[in-house]
This record gives sequence, C-alpha cells and structure tokens, in this order.
Amino acid sequence: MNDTVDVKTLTIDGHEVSGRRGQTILEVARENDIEIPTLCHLDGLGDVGACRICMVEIAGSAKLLPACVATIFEGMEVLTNTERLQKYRRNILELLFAERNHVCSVCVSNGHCELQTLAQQQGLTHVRLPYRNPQLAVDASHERFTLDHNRCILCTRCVRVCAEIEGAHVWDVMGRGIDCTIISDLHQDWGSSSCTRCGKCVQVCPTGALFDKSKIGSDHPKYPDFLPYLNLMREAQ
Amino acid sequence: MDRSVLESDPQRVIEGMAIAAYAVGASKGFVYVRAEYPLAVARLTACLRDARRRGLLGNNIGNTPFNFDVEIRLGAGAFVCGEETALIASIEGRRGTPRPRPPYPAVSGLYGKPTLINNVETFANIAPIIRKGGRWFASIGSERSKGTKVFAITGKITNTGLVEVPMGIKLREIIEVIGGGVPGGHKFKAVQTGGPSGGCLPAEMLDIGVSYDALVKVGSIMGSGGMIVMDDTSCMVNVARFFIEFCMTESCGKCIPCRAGTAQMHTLLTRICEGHGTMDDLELLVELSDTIKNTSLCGLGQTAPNPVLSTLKYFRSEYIDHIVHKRCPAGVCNIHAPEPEARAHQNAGQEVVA
Ligand SMILES: Cc1cc2nc3c(=O)[nH]c(=O)nc-3n(C[C@H](O)[C@H](O)[C@H](O)COP(=O)(O)O)c2cc1C
Ligand code: SF4
Ligand code: FES
Repeated sequence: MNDTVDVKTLTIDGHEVSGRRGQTILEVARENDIEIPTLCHLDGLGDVGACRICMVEIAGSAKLLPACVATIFEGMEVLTNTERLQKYRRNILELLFAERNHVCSVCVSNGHCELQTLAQQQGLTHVRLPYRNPQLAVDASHERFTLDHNRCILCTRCVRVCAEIEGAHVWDVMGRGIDCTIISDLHQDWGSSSCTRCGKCVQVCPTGALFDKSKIGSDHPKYPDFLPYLNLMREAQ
Repeated sequence: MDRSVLESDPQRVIEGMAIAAYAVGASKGFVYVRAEYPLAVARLTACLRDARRRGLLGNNIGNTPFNFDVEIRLGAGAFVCGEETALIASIEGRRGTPRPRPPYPAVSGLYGKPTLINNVETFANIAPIIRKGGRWFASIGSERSKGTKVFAITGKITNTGLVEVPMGIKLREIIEVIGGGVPGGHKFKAVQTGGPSGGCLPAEMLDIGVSYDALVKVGSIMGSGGMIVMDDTSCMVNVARFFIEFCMTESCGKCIPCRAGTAQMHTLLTRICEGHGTMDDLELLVELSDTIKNTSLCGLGQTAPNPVLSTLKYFRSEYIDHIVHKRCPAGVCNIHAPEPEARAHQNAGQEVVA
C-alpha cells in the first residue's frame, strides 16, 4: 500500500470530517459514526454499487453518488439523509419487496434479515406496487445448504465472496433484467457443482435466500464479520 | 445510422480511430459491432486487411515510430453493451454489465488501461475536421451543438431513411420538409427522438432546434439519432408501454431501480392500457420514474422513464381517457382485455420495426 497520505477534508451532514485520498464516502462516514444504509456492500468484499440504497447527495451537483464506491474529494459537502434520499431508499426497498417473495413471517431469516431490518429502519410500512409473485425454484440439492431464489435480492455478495475470498467462483448471475438469477457453475444443481462446501456464501447472504439446512424453522443468524478479519490476516501474511 | 457508416465507409471510421490513437498514444483499437450486422463486419474486415497491406495500420505507420492496429469484437446484441463500461466488460470477455463511474474509462478502462471510447459517428467526423480545420466544423450547427447529425427517420412518414442535417435545424423541417410529412391524410401526433429511451414530443414542440441541450430540456434525448414519427393512429399510452417493455427486457439486472422499476412500470402501464388503471397508478408512475432516473447505475435506467414522463406531460388526456372513461382514443388498446398477457404488441411494435 502506498502510504503517501493525502488528507482531504469534507463535511458529511454538516460534520467536518477528514479522510485519506481514495477512501470512499461510506468509509469516512462510518469512521465518524455517521450511518449510511447499505445493502450490497459488505465489509471485506469488493464493491459493485448495485443496490443504490447508499446514494447520497453532493452539494452543487444534481447527480447522486453511491457512497460505497464514490471517493471523497476536498471540500465535498455530503448529505446522507435528506427527505429525497429517504424516499428513494423506501422506493428501492419497496421494489425489492414486490419483486419476489419476501414474506418475513415464513422465512428462516425472520429477525436476522438485513432487508427486513433496513425496511424497518427506513420506515417502509406497506407496499403499494403490485406483487410480482414469480414462482422460482428452490435448490435443495446440496448436502448442507439450500438456495431459495424467491428470497434472493441479487446483491451478488455470494458471487463475490466465492470468487474473491474462497477463490472457487461457483456462483454467478444468469439472464437479464427481471429474469436474472444466481446460478452455480454453468447452471447446474448446487449439489453437483464444484462447491467447496465452505459455507461463506450462506454467512454473507443478507436474506433467507441461502440457508443452512440444519437451521430450518429455527433461529438462523448469520455471521459475515469473519471477512474483514480474514482479509486482515491474509494481508499480514 | 452507425451501421450505415460501417457498411458504406468503414475507412473513414478506421482513419478517425488511427488519428485519435495517435493523439492519445494508443497502439491498440477495438471496433465493437453487433454480430447481427454481418455486412458491416465483412466490410470492416476487408477494410482492415486492406489498410494493413498498405501500411496504414500495423507497425511503423507511414515510416514513423507510430504503431496501431484494430481488432473487431462481435457483440451478442445486448442493448446495454453500448454503455461504455458494459462494452469494456464485454470485450474483456465478462458479463456485459455497467459498473459505477468514476473511474471513467479515460482513467481505467479496457484491462484497467486508460481507454478512449467513442461512437462511430464521432470517429467518422475526425478525418474531415483534421483536413478542413476545427473552425470549418464549428461553423456548422448551433451555439452549443456543433457539426452535423445523422438521423434515422422511420414510422408514419413519407420519406423514411437516413438524413444528415446540421445541428440546430428545426424538428419541423426534418419531419415536414425532408421527411415529407405524415402520409395517408393522417395527422402528425408525436415524434420520438433518441432511441427507445427518448421522449415523445408533440406538434407544439416541433419548432425547437435540434441540439443536445434543447432536446433534454423538453424531456427527450439526442441518443442514437433515432427518430420515430407517429400519427393519430398511435395510442401514446401503448407507445410508452412498448418502450418501457424494451428497456425492461434490455435491463442488465444489476441495479435494483432499473431491474425491478422498469418491470413495475410495465405492469402499471399494461394495467392502464387494459382499462384497469387508477389515477393513483399515474402518481406511482411518476414517483417510480423519479426514483429510477435518479438512482439507476447507468444511462439505460437513467433514461428509461423518458417515454413515460414525456407522454404523461404532453398526452396526459390519453391516460385519463383510458383510466376514467375506459376508452382508447386511437382505438389501439383492447380495453377490458380478458387475458392480460395473451395479446401481441400492436401498433407501436410495428412502427418501430418499420
Ligand atoms: C444503454 C446505452 C446504450 C448505448 N448504446 C450505444 C451504441 O449502440 N452505440 C454507441 O456508439 N454508443 C452507445 N451508447 C453511448 C456510449 O456509452 C458512449 O457514451 C458513447 O459511445 C460515447 O461516444 P461519443 O462521446 O463519441 O458520443 C449507449 C449508452 C447507453 C447508456
Ligand atoms: S440502469 Fe439498468 S442497465 Fe444500467 S446497470 Fe442498472 S440494471 Fe443494468
Ligand atoms: S451499498 Fe452502495 S450501491 Fe449497494
């Protein structure tokens, strides 16, 4: 890592803060205890800027920026929680809830789901859009885990953890637009794929789309916190 | 339009690329062209072979230390692969999905290298500018948009085809004079500019001069230079639905607002077309449009709501007719359709293919 530290000062929601060149708005905000909601971002994985939940306003610009990938610059004035942003965040969450089946009461992740938590935090109380109710497959061919496409929000955390951390790249995305789905290998059953059975994807999945079979019907919290630690230990080597 | 340049004068594009490469110090160029344009590919291939034989491409071009060669990459026909970062991913052999910018391709593009990426028409303009000078080029066109622009006029118009016009020309002149107006005694209703995510402009807007900013100001875009003319047999709600359907099926699916938002807009518009819509649906459409435009990752989602917003602005009464009076003024929509999904697409579809 290049340590020629170049400090930038900026304001986030009126607080004067500073960060190093190349840091993202999200990193600097979280270092300063300013919370920006995220969904596809996960500490320890490469960012894709796909969910658009973390969009923030920059003074003097009509364009919103995704905080998880946009880097800071000197004199930047960031607003993270305006009414407009709150509305967009609720609308994006509403789109997700209407896209597939997210009935929390019958989900293994009920109470431990990032989508559910986010919806509560953002005040999404009801869904106005018509539910699409697609009838998607459930892949239970794996010995230990299950993939329920109906709960998947296509955040691609599983794809990234498998490719970047486990190095297996079993998961990827197939199809376009509303027909996108996660696939294992070249679209074969998870059970007969090249899966290494490490279970990292299950731990990073924000919803009940990937779950451990032994946890069906019981409490199923997930522990994605191993990632930053793992990365740190690998870097130290 | 770009296709016709590649088919009729590929030398011009290659020359523009070579000059651009010389200017930025690039040694490698790519032409990304859809496999569905076999004639363009064949002519480009022949042109490249010829240029290499004459020493206009390859090493030490014109006995200078400058090296440059061009490779053709075939696209599989995904609309989103025209978006620059998706195009780069596709050339690299990855899934053609956009990524957030910055970093812009000029900083980190193909294989992480600084990359200049331009449109066919842009490259085709380079050689004449070098030959005749920038002042000559800037003397054509309007205040902020210089030069000429090629439009592909289609739809309900007497003379369909490609026209090259100076920027700043009035829409009315393109449609009534060059295009020869609407045939068959029908009345002009709307013109859509810029491809599937352009806005639909009514007769009152025909006196605007065609330029990048003027079109954006009235809710449309220059885009690809597509221009579809519609007459009084078109239902604007159905037209909006048709274009949203295109964007929905071409969405890459990476970001939520475009992936799920265009699908929801399509559902709402279908409902309205079939006479099941409510006035609340109109508000939802506007709110979704606002969210999709402002939060989508790439230009596809950011412009996808344009046909809906522009028809809501200029042809609102047609929406009201469908919702309140259960009537399609153009007689296109099958109001109270019993089976929502069973029908094929009507007029709008034919117009675009025409
Ligand atoms: C969804 C989408 C599709 C696009 N398709 C094309 C295309 O087919 N051809 C093209 O030249 N540019 C296309 N573009 C624009 C390019 O991304 C790029 O901005 C442009 O080619 C830059 O060239 P220019 O600066 O010379 O105009 C598309 C953009 C988007 C967002
Ligand atoms: S706007 Fe549409 S096409 Fe662009 S990244 Fe998002 S989903 Fe893909
Ligand atoms: S967290 Fe930034 S786009 Fe998903």
